[in-house]
Amino acid sequence: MIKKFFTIITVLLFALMVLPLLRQIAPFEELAPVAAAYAEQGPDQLGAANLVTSVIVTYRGLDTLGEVTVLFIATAGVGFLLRRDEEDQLPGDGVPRETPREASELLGSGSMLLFPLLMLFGVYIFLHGHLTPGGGFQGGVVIASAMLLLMLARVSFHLNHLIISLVESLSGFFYVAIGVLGLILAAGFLDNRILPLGEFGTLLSAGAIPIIYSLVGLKVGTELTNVLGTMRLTRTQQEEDV
Amino acid sequence: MNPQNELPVLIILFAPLIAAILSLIGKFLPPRYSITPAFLVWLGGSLWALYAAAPAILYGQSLTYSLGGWAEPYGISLSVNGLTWIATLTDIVIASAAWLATRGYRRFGALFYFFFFMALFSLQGVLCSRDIFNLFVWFEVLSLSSIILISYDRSLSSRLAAIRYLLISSLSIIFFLIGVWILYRLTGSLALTEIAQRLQSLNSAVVPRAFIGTLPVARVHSAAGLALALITAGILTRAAIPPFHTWLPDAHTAAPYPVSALLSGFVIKAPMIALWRIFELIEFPQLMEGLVWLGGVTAVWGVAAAMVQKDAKKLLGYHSVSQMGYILAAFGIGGVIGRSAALFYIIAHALFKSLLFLTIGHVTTRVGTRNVYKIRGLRRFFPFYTVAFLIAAASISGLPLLAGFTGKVLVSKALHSHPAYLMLIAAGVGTAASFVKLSAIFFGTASDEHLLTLESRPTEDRGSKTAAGEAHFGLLVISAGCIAMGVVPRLIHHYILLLLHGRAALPPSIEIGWYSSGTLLKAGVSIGGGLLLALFLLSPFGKNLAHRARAMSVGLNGSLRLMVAGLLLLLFLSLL
Repeated sequence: MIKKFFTIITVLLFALMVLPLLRQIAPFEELAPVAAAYAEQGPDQLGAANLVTSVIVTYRGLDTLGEVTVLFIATAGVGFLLRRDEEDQLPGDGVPRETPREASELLGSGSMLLFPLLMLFGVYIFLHGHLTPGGGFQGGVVIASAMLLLMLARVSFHLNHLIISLVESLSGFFYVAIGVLGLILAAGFLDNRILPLGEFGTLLSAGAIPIIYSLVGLKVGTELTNVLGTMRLTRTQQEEDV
Repeated sequence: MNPQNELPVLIILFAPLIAAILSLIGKFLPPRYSITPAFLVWLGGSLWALYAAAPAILYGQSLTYSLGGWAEPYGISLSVNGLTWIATLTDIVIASAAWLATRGYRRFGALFYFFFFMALFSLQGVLCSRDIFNLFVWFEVLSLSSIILISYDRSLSSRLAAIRYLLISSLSIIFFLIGVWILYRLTGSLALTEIAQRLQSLNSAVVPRAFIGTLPVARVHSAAGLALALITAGILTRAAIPPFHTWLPDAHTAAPYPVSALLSGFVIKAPMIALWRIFELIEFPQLMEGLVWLGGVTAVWGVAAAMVQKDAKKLLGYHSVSQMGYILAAFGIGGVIGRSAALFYIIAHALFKSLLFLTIGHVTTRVGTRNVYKIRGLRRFFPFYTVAFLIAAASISGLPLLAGFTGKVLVSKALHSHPAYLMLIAAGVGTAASFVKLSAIFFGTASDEHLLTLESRPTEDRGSKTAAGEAHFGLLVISAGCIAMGVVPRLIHHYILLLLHGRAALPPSIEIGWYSSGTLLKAGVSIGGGLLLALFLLSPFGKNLAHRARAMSVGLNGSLRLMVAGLLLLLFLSLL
């Protein structure tokens, strides 16, 4: 009772303090100067039809590199922390586990049909990141969801961690390498104008943005797949892996 | 834009990333061909870049690199100024000593060094970034990589500590992000310089109503004040300032000791530097006044918790909290002397706290227990580590001719007329007491049980003989630093001022009176008081009291509540 009372008091206090926000923050009536400059100059400077992408990949490219790094470290961390050693004893150990049941006919056939479509869709999203809504992160998540479907549908499905890690590391490496190329060939780190900007609105345009976003897509896709794979592994399978 | 100015910035930032990638290659190569070169590349690159950046900084310029050639506010700008320069140098010294110590600790895999250098990479980002959203990204990389380093021993306790840190730092970064959002809505920009300019015009529209003492102060636009309070709460969590500090003692205890040295030595200081970089552009007097008081509270809170600890590393962890109080108070009081005192203390604390963690971590690992009341007589087995420990312990307790003493003199010079200073004096007595208690593990006679564990293990470090030598070298360098800061404080303080302000704008020199009778008397009284307090702590009654105090520790729920309370307090301060 007293706890609830305190909670209510705290919430009320918060509400009181953020009141000025309601009074002082009016809805935007026009674009902020920075946003207006992006909208005006972005297409000419970078040649990407999707303005959001040009902000994410180029103007604020370091943030994106940082976010990709966050994801990479998080994946490695999940892999590292969920790996279990011989001496680790957790509640529920020693209880014989149920052997996983085969997926139903419906899920099995459905996954066969959906998997290629999902993969294709994921690749489409990141390849067209500079033209249409979406991009590397979104495409990567779609790819990982396709892999999740496969894992759910087939008990015997075995993820090849070596290939996954290799793709992950290489795409990260090339991302940084393209950044450095920008330093040498264009105005600075992660500048997309190391390649010709091409014709506005076509697939091969906007300089290095499609390449960067494809690498991000591959990286995000493999990373999330890796996380899913690690969580799925049973103890015996881990021992086989090691 | 000239490459001469840009290259050092890029190298300072990216040298750790290159080292991280190189150490990852170590998965396929023996460590001699990957991990050592990675370290050397990082060390050489960073030192060269600092050397190249020094002349410009001494003339009061800051080196700026705009990413992809997009100047602020359209792109992200990274800049190295005097503050970053000094902080980077401190970081390099601490991280090198920690790196050297890892080799004597145990055989870490390539992955460990990858995360180690990623943590250094994100630290550099935090130090260099001049964009508030970019700062958020670096904080995220930093917290994730430190979480993995903390749990690297993969014991249950270290995993729990890591999860707790993860939850608390996620909550804090939400505070930070809400603040960033409000600032963006108000100013339409994420670049700090641009935000500062716009806020100034917003503030000038507000009638000055607030008073500090009797001085009228320009009132800060209230939504902007809320935003800055939220951002400050986020950053203070990373700097382990009570009531946002609850993650630190567990995390720094559970981490492998070289990691603890890096975490306590530098990782909690970097957020302070970020805070500094924000508030050197944006004026916010009410909040600064609050930070002085918070600094006093921090110092006392940390030391009170430290005095009752039984676990040697946890004791050191709470002292890190307490020492951050000195830094925060000096930072909050501001001005030339306050800011330089904060930076001087950051360096001093980085040196002696990492030295403490490296020595205590080493000996307790070898003995196999961290119980302060049980271990005795280690002096005989670790003569080198005993001397290094005593230098560090005497520094933190404020013994003359060492870094802690001169740091405290400078802080007291900045704060002498402020009532919160009394709390710092009290904390000084407690610190001395706590370290007398901790020093006891090196003296007396060792119990048979510990003799057995020590004798059953190889005589020196578990690594090879060279690894032990490398670790000793690191300790030697840090000890020398502690002594230098105590013996020639005037010179070091002069260089700090020179790097912060540049040669042209160097403020007129202030007489500090490093070794006047007043400062020596103060140190004598605080150490004397500490000795008496230590006798009480080691008496059966004191032990009993400590035992009961330890039982009052805060759980995860409690720490989240504390954080919310702290946030409310800061928000209230900003609206005052």
